[in-house]
Amino acid sequence: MKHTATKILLPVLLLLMFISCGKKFLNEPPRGATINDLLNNPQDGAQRIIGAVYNRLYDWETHSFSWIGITSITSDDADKGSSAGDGGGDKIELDGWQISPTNISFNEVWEGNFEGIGRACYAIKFINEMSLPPGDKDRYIGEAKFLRAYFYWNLIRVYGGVPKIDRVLTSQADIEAASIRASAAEIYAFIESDLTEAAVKLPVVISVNERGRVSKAAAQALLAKVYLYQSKWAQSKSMCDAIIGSGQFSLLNNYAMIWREAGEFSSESIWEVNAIADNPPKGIQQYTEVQGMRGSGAGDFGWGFNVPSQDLVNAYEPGDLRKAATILVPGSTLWDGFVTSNTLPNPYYSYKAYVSRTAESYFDRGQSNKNLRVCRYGEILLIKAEVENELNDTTASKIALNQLRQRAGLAPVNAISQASMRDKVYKERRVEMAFEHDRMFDLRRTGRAATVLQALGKPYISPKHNLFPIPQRQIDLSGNRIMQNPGY
Amino acid sequence: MNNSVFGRHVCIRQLVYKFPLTRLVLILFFIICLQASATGKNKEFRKFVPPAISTQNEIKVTGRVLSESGEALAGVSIIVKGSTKGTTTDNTGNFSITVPDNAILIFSAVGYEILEENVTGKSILNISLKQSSKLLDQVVVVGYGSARKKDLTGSSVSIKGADIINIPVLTATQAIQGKVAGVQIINSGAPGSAPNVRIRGVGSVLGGADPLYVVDGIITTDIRNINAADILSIDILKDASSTAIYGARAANGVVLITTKAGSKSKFSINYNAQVGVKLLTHKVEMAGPGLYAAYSNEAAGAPAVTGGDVTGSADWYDEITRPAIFNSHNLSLSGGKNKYRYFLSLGYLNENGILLDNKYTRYTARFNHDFAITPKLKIGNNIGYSHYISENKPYSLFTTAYIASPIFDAVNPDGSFGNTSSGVSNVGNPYATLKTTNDRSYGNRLQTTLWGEYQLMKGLTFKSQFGIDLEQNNGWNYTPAYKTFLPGGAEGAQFNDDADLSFNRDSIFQWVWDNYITYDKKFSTNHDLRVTVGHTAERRNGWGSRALIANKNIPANKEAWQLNFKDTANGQQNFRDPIGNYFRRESYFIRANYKFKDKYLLNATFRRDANSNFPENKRWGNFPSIGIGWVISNEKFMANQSFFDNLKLRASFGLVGNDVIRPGAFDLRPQERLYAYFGTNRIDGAIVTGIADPDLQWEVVREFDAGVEFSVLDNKLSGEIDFYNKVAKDALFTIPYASLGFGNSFLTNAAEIANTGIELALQWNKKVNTKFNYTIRGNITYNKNTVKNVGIGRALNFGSLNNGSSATQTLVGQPIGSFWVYRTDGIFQNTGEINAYPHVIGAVPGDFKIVDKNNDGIIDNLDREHVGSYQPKIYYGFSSTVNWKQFDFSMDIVGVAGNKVYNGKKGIRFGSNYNVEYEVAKNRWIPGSNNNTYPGASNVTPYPTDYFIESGSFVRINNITAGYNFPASKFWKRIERMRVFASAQNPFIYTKYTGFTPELPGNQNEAGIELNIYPISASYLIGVNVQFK
Repeated sequence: MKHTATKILLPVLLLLMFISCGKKFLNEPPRGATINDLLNNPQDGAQRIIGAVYNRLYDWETHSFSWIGITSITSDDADKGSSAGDGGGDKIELDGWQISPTNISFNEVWEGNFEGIGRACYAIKFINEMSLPPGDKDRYIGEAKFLRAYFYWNLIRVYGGVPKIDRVLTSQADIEAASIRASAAEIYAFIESDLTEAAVKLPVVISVNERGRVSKAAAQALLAKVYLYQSKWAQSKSMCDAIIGSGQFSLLNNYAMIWREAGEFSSESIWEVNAIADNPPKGIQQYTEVQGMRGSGAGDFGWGFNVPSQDLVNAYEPGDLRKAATILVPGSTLWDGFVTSNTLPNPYYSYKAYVSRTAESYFDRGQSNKNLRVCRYGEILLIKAEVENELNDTTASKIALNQLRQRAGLAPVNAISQASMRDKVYKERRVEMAFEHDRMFDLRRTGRAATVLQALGKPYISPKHNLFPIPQRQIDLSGNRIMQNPGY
Repeated sequence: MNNSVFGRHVCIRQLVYKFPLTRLVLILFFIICLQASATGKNKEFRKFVPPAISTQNEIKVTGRVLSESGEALAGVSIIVKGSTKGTTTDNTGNFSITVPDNAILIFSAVGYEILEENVTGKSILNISLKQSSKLLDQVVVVGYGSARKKDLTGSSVSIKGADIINIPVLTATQAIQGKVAGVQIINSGAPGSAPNVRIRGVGSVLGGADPLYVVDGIITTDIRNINAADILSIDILKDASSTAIYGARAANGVVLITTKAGSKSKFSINYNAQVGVKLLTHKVEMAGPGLYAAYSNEAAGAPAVTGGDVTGSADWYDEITRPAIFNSHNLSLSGGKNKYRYFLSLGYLNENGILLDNKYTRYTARFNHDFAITPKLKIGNNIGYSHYISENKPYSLFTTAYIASPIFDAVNPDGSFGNTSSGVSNVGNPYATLKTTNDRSYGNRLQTTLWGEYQLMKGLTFKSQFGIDLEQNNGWNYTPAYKTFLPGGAEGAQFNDDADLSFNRDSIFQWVWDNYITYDKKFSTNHDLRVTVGHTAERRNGWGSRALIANKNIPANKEAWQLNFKDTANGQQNFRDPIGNYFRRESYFIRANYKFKDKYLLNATFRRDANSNFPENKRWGNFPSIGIGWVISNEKFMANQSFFDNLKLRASFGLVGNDVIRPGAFDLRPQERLYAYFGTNRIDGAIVTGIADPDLQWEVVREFDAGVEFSVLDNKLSGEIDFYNKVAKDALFTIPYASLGFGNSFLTNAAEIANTGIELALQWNKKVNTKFNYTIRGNITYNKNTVKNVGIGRALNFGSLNNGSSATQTLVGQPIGSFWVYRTDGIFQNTGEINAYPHVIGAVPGDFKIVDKNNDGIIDNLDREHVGSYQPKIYYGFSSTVNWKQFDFSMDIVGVAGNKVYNGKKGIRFGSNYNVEYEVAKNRWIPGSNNNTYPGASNVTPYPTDYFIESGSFVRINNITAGYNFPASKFWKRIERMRVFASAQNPFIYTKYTGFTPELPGNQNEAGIELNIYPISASYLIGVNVQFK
């Protein structure tokens, strides 16, 4: 009896032991989204994909502390600010032109913009693969190319020629092959080609519920500036004329209003990074906090970096309305009625970075409503004034420039010669565009950087400092395939 | 839900003989079983035929074999002396045999001393076997079974629960620090934390480095839920011969934990309690207000801290630390009757941290029971439950307190928080941060196994065990709105406008089902075979969610949170997507232990493992091992010597894996929540980024071990010596590349990492007389860790110093996580010296002369050198116990040597007038001092130099305990045993290290940096053990 039981049980139990649940047992479905969830749902998927490219515009590396440091603190417009001992990583070095390839700002701006370029390449690839109505597809492609060009535009102005990435890289071998610097001319051509295509594909009008997305005019405006930097005066002029001729844009009467929430997407606005301090918030990460007044208690708005220099303050003509709109003087009452302390550690702060806690939507210091005004009609008039003058049409130049002077409460210019008109445009550009991340590049573009900065006692060396260094970290990561700029 | 767990996925649906190897094994096994079954029958047949020439009277003897503690012993071999006739006891310890009436019966069982008993006509024999004191007869747990240590060819160590019960620890592994050769335990002083356990070195750079834990068959990574008082034994498997049965998860070693079972014949209640206090040791003395001001002013080159700035004199370490009380209570009840055994225990542990208000409380309950339904069928069930509450405070406060200015007060006279963030200093008030951190985590864990064991025939047992591990962890973190105030009453710069609250909840459900057959057979007198073959399947579902309410008016009263939370108009609800960690595993395993003539041993193990985390074509892996042994002391030529009681040589080789790799690392998945706004519509941006290796695979480690086990001088001195070599051939490594929009590195199997070492463990037992005996144990391990190769990868930098630079590098030719710093050569005394020497931009007198190693005139990363790592070259431990009359004494010592630590706190001062150590400030370089030791005052971020590297060697007395055992007669008769004891833990440490503690746990690439580390404390306690009968 016992043995019979064993005889039966033994095979049964052995069978039990060697159960396998089949191949399917090991197929654990992946959790969370897969790329197919995006691709197979084109309506929502395409918007989420392009949203991820726009997302890079809000990031710390792309548009915040390091960008502020490189574009502004280095220039004659701004001092480092904050307390003497607080270097903010490398801002003492940037302000004092003790610039080295290991300064963290150069690596952050590199990574921030290249990450945007990578996302744009993915977006172009995916959107091309998706089945979308032709109009929608064109628009998304146009946006991705615009943004790719914008990220390259930031890179080329900082570093000169950089690796050219025009497709998705999928292997380490791809990356190694791409880790070589293209010439500045190649990158300029790439930017122009992306923007030209974008200008064709992007819509003319951006509806209210799409604010923040780029338009045809945004592509034209960026092209106007890209041409300007290459002294392609006629092409730049034709872009300015297209924008001016569209009749879509006009100067806002009150210059100060441009940087307030009430002035977002105004008639002067061509493209802004759309920051929202509602709930849930999405601001440009700590953009206003790093520049906010370094006070205490209710008077504490931030870290107090990137403050107007005395040299900038002195640059305004008497009666220039733009001065009070740009320079925040401690001890004064601000536009929203806030009374600032007169014992703050810095003599001035950037008014364009001020966010009202009472009169504007406010979430917290890290995520403010402050849009970054990337392209505005005021700058188009400056470019127009400059290129017309370079093309020897001083009259057309004066017409453009005087629109800005009139708004600023100043008398029209009467320069006669091309050279003196050029100086007038440069000077106007400084005060009109102060704290808009333009000044340092403008000084270099026009060949004035060494003269201007050396006069202020900065050890600026030309030509070495006409480009910033390639981040050492990237050179190291590339195994020295990416070469350093001369002099560093 | 339940249906999907038990029905769909573990379906007994298909008999799949997919794999030729499995098939082969199975067929062989069948043949063996059938043969065995046949020979078994023959023997039984013979048994019933009395020898024809017999003239003696045969009688039937029945009886029961019990252990000294009254537990029935199953499987005890009973042999008639001088014949081959014999039997074994059944599961209830009973036996029955017909023998000549003058026969002598030999009773033998694994782990017990052999007993000879004369039958002399008795028909009933009740036998009590004494537990063997010999190490070699020790029974050890080996994974899916147990074995006699002397039959094994692998390296493993078994620790009895009784050896750790009186050490005040949360996690059992903390208590074995210094007690096991080849096992380094790095403890943290933080309540509720688990120690780093490193078995035979660090074997992985980017995979996991922790061993695998198996608690009563449930595989886990965290054993903080197990009450050390419930542990019967901890078995640590160190080499491939012992670990390969766990295949792809065994590369970092395996820790097997067995919890206690009841006793069938003896009822007892045990109560253990401890209460004690923990004290901060080696407090680092910081500069006071005067010295701080002088130093800061000198650093700034201008008055940075003036008399008017000094409004207080906080000693921040005193403000945030305290003597901390801890206590624990354990009550257990065990017993049994007839065929039923049970063990029931309740535990309570309350551990206050030396960091103010930091506390960890754990409640545990356990019920283990088993039932022998028939002599052949046994079922059992273990249930372990734990609940914990942890009041967390940021460990970073140990660093904040270091850098905070001593010129302020923590609290103003009116009780409000003092402001410490002024123009002088930008460091928040550590006391205010501590008091406004309301961070609690709490959770439940239920681990249970249900098993059945059936004896198919003599020597052949089938066991099926189903285990469930349910874990739920919750937490909330509330920061109230608060302000700090200047002494004058003005508001300070440190504040929180509105309260923030976040919640998290994680739950894990895991099941594992093991089915295996064990066949144990002695063929004639020469061949012993024990084979285990089985299958196991496992599934784990992990799920978590987070919620955050920020900047809203949330009341401090947490009963009100519920209301606010529902109020979507006021409370922001920011639910993120669930975080999932789901995987399944399936494995086949076989182990054969063969012994020839008790002298020659062969152990072979093979496991085939699959893990759903890996791509389909890379899912399965094979992990074999083989071990051989030679028991020299059983050889005939050793019969005439009396020096060696045991001498065994053994060697093993095998492959084991490490599959602790981030799930989905081989697959590009979209990154989500990349928000952007179009108008007022928030777009949830999503896109893929980076590069993935589609061929990513687990790490495979080749392990070689050779060892000698011996005992001499009548077993008084015993020991083991092992040599090992572990090489991970395809260890995970990242290959870096430039950031061009696709990340900056990808993970692949590229590195080769080797650990080579020698272990020595010795034990001296001496029983002088019945009133006095002592034991001395010692062990020492030498380990050399080297990264042999990283393919096309480059050095990986880790070890952030919180000041913008990093201090460790993992690269070819060095140990993992080597310190990578500049050498210094004294201090620049004047500008002349600076000009005459390569220097960094901005160097001033008083700065270190950094050695320009490559002589290129520039100080850069190329001048950095590798100066050792946190991994000790040698670690060791000694312990001794003495029993004298009613007293017992014990002392444990632990030490490490040859390791370095980076004093990260010293290097954190830059800008912002951070505080500085008293010694450093007082002895700082000043012009004309010719000081070459301490640099001058500076606000510049220091370069990572050898100045911050210190020896991490230490010798510490871990434990001194004295106990008194009350004589039984003097007490109430129900008290069987009562012991009171007093103990000091970590009372003395000898180290040259100037920081809090040289024992610095951390990630394998960057441990050994003292920053944000919760220091080890000394503790003093008293306790009692009572056993009732």
